[in-house]
Amino acid sequence: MSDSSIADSAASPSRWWAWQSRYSPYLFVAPFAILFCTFMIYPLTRSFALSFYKTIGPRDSRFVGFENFKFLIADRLFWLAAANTIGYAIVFPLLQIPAALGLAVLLNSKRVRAKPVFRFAFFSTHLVGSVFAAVLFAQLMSPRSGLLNHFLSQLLRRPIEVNWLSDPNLAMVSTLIAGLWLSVGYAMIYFLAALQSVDAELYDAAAVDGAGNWATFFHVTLPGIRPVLIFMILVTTIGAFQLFELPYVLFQQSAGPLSRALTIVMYLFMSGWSVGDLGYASAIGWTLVLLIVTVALVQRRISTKLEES
Amino acid sequence: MILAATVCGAVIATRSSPAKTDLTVWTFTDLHARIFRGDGSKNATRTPLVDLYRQETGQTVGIKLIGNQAITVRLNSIFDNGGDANDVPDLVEIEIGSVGRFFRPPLNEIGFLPLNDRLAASGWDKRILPSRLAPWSKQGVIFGVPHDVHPVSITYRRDLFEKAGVKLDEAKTWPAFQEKCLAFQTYWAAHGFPRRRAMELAVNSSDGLQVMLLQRHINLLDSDNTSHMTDPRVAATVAFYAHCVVGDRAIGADSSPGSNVWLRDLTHGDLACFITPDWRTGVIKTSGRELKGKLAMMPLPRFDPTDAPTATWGGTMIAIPKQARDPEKSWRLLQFLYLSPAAMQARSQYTGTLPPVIEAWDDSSWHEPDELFNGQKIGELYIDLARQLPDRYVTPFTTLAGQALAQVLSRAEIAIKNGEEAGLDQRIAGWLIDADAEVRKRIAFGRFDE
Repeated sequence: MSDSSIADSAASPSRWWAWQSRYSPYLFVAPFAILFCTFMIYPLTRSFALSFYKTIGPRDSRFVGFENFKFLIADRLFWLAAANTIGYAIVFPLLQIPAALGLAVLLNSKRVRAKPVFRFAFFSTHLVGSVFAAVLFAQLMSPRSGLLNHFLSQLLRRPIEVNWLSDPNLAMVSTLIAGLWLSVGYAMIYFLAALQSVDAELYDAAAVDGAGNWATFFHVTLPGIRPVLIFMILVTTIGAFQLFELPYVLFQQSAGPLSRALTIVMYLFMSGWSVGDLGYASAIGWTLVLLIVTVALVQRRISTKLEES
Repeated sequence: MILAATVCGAVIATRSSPAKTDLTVWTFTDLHARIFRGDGSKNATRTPLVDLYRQETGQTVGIKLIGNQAITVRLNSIFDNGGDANDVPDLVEIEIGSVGRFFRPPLNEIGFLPLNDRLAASGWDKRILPSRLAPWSKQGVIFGVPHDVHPVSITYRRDLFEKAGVKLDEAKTWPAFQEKCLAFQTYWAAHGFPRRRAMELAVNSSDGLQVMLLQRHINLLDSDNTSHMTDPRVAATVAFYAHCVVGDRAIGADSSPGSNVWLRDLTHGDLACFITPDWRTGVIKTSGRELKGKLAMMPLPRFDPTDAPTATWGGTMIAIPKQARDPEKSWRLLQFLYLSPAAMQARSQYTGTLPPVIEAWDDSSWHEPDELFNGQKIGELYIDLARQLPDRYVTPFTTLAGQALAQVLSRAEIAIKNGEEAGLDQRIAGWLIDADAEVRKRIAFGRFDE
């Protein structure tokens, strides 16, 4: 065996190790990167570009600049959808977070028995999905045969026929009720995990200091779960802005009475798939992104200030 | 994890792929899939259509059941970006609510093959009910062959109306019909059924209202997207309809939500009459046997003598994508699956819906007395109505126009509920002008230069 071949065979493993240590991180990341680029980056950039185009026929498209956005600003239906969505996004977290937190505190209490059963019962509503929930609530809220009106009639001892789904003032209320039923248990699980991670010694110290239940909750529990609370508010608000399936199925693919159940994503869907105007639908989508980013930034700033204070 | 992934990978890699077929059909409904390929039951009395086609031509046909929305997405992807010829179906079924968006491009860029020449050459253009080709056409170019006609009638609980002493079929106009229904409700309210309503009428959606408009030969948008929302008859019809669903003279209410749950309302007598296209009658025949002898059917009442006694509700077409591998083979299969005698028989067995081929109406099955309807020949009634069917058009903006109309209806209903009925007709006309302006603006923005 010559000297050079011996040197080569000695160098070969070290070259392999060098190559591996240099490129293996990229290889490990590659599956995610490829999927992320294919299913996130490309569609996002494509839809962003599409929002400046009018698509003409199967193959051609015409650049129209900001025309889609200009039309959007003057589109009454879009603003109606935006008003409905923003209203929902404000009210929904205000109801969902306290309800979920309340349930979590209750289930975290030492006095409650059969906790796993309750935890599963409250969480299980989330497992059925929003389409099922919408179908269920459409039945429950049916004015003539729904259980909700039947229950109210029994309770008040007179026939009640509330038009949950055909009264414009109740359209979003009905959506809220269904949405809360679906998601309170899910949020509760997060809060429960957060509550269990609060240092028990802090509660002992509070008890020694003579703090009552409310004082303990506000001065020990809430600060202890603040990161989760902020996260939940953010996630819930973003989810509320993306509201689609629930009202879409609940109101049988219509916008509801006086279009009061129309949300931004429903309008996007209608523009993209009923009308076939993908450029305009993309413009609606990116406007929604802008709205969500703005809200998220505002929330973040408020939470940072709260933490600082 | 690695072991599980390896096992799963091996199973997927070694499983046998479904046999490739010479032709592929996409359908969105399980019912149609069963009509084409049979339901696999041991008691099946007839050979599945695809097997008959193989015997006749030697070609195999695969039926792919794909969700309605997924068909729209996949077809548009094919039309927009081309696609592997193997991915393109040779035939595809489209539901009437989804077809509008396919007609958005200029005529020469629509993704389906124009069928006028083929229909004329084969003589089918004379044999298919002309009004039924309208929904599948744009500016006179036909892109699909209809599966059905779906004329609508009114099916009512004859027994309940007779007990109330109301002869509903004597009502020839909608106002007279409303009077009869009010008398019916008054009778039953006094006999322990205060919540019994005479008729199913949607409170929120404009579906029922559009049936009434269509029988007045009014499409909200016609085939070239011209809006007719400001037609004075639309305002009058909206006002009448709103009074039928709210206020002291209400005769209608929503049926219970859910697929075919309306049949329970009919069976229990909570709602005593329904606007029934033939597919709904099919549901009654399949699942409402306890109603045997208790039903009767009548044409729709009219507003004016020039109105049709019917309209149409629902529908499906079959079309050939332009990128289909061999359009001639597709056309041959289309004729077999939709227009052949075997296809008519299979459709009749599974759905009981009236076919669009006029000569098929001579089949004896359409002229037999029906037990459910106390011996009434409802097939003959549907045939009579089908001959008077108004043209219905669908465009990409039809859904938006329907929604705008529903908003006007909601406003009218609120006005009636609030007792603000004075000058309601004029206010409805004003709301319709606003709605019309909005729809026109949207159409002008969304349409292409053709």
